[in-house]
Amino acid sequence: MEKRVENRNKRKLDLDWDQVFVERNDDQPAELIVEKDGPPRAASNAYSDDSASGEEIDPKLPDAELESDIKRKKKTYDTYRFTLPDKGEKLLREIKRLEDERQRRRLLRPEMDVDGCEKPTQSLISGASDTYRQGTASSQFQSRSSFASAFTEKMEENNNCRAFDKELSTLAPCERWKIKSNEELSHVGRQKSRSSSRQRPFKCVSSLYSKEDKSSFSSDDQKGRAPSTYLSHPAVENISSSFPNKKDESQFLPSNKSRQRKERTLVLLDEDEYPLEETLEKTLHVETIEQEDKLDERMKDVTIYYPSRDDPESVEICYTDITNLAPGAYLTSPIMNFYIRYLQQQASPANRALYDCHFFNTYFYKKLKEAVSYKGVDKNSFFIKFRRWWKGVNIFHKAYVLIPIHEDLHWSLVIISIPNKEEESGPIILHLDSLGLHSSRSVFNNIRR
Amino acid sequence: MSDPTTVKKEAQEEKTTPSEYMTLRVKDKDHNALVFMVRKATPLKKLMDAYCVRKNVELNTFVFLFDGRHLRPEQTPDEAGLGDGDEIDTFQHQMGG
Repeated sequence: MEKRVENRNKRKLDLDWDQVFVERNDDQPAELIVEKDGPPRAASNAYSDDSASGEEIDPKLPDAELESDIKRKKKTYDTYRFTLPDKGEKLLREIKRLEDERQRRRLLRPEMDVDGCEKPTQSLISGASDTYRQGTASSQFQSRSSFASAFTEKMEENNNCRAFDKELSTLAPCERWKIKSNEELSHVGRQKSRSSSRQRPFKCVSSLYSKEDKSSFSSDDQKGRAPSTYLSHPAVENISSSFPNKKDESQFLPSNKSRQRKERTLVLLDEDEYPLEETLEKTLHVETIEQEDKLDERMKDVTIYYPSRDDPESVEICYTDITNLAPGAYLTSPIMNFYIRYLQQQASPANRALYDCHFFNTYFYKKLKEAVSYKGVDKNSFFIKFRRWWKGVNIFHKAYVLIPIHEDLHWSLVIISIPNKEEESGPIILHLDSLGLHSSRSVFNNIRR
Repeated sequence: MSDPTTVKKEAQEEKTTPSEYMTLRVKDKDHNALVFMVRKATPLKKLMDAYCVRKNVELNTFVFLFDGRHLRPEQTPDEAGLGDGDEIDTFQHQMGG
């Protein structure tokens, strides 16, 4: 009978979901759950959205794909239900989430249209992830029964959403901070599942990468994916293929959502003032959107310096450089230099592996070639000047010297391995070239130094 | 270029008090140098822009490096550790796959 009901329409499905829900939280009255799910959504129809359904929403939805996916999911659900009752329940929740996503996307759409596609703002990245962390943390600690706390929580949700959104879309650069604070973040990852502030982030993610979301939704093992799995991906991977990772992220986010949804209901149950809350939330949300838009506009020309503005060795990277990380786009020197700088930033006497390496920037090789091919009389002085490129660093005391090479629209890398003094062998020069485009001339040039 | 702080191509003439001004050679990849006379307290942006204008390219086409270090537009020559007669290298942004 349940199956029949679900098949007929979403309304029934959701009711069923609520039932499931109630079963799992015996002490919660179903009606309240339904109500409480509403407020986080900004819209006036939040109530009906969450509790049940979809009929009124469906026609407005531009994304037909999502629709079909929901349907498909339901079918899957039906099949699974018989074989695996437990899984069926999970699927059911997924379907529910999909619907939520659809609703949210609808809400989000105006914003998306303005932005084209949520442009990230680089200089905010670090701040953003911070906010995000703080947000989740604090929202967790708040006493959840009073209206005030819930309200702040929502403010944070808004912030979190923005922050996370950016974080996500600027995955690669952001990854650095993530790695740095890997531990912290995975902690947050755990919090995510508990705290209620996950709803908005979910929205953003799903709308940005909805296609990936869908494909991933069909699998049941989503929950197995811990956020930390994603975080442990090497940053390099992110640079070269940031998209697969995005996919990962969008996979685990929704899964958190489902668990956390339950929490949400718990959190808000005691509240009586949700209509007021809704209005406030709505205004808040709108404000945030406006701010973001303005910010995005401003950020377009922004250049940031890493590690800091005052660092003599800082590299500049600007907002628009992020586009170079898109699939199929060429990697540019600012990105490369940023990453090189980033790697070096990690180097300290304590971090032996990195400390033993010296990275030149991407312009070094060009300059070196110049220096080598320089025919003028003052060749020596040229070299003396050139040495200033690595002044303060005794490159021969390093174990490895890495030189990125750029030629003919192609990147390759030379690694010079400098052996210890006691070893007899001379420096070993490795030239790593994925396309075999660059001649060993670079090697030759380097030997001369 | 007509600006008093960024002065003439290929002319090392020291017009004013050496303490206030310095000459900087801005070299491109073909070793062609443009010589600028800049005020030590003037942000390098002026020089960079003038260079780009001179080269008939858009601003921000070039990366300016001194001894392998990036120069930032808002730095003044003093802050960047530039001295009289120093050479600044220019590179175009590199792109590759």
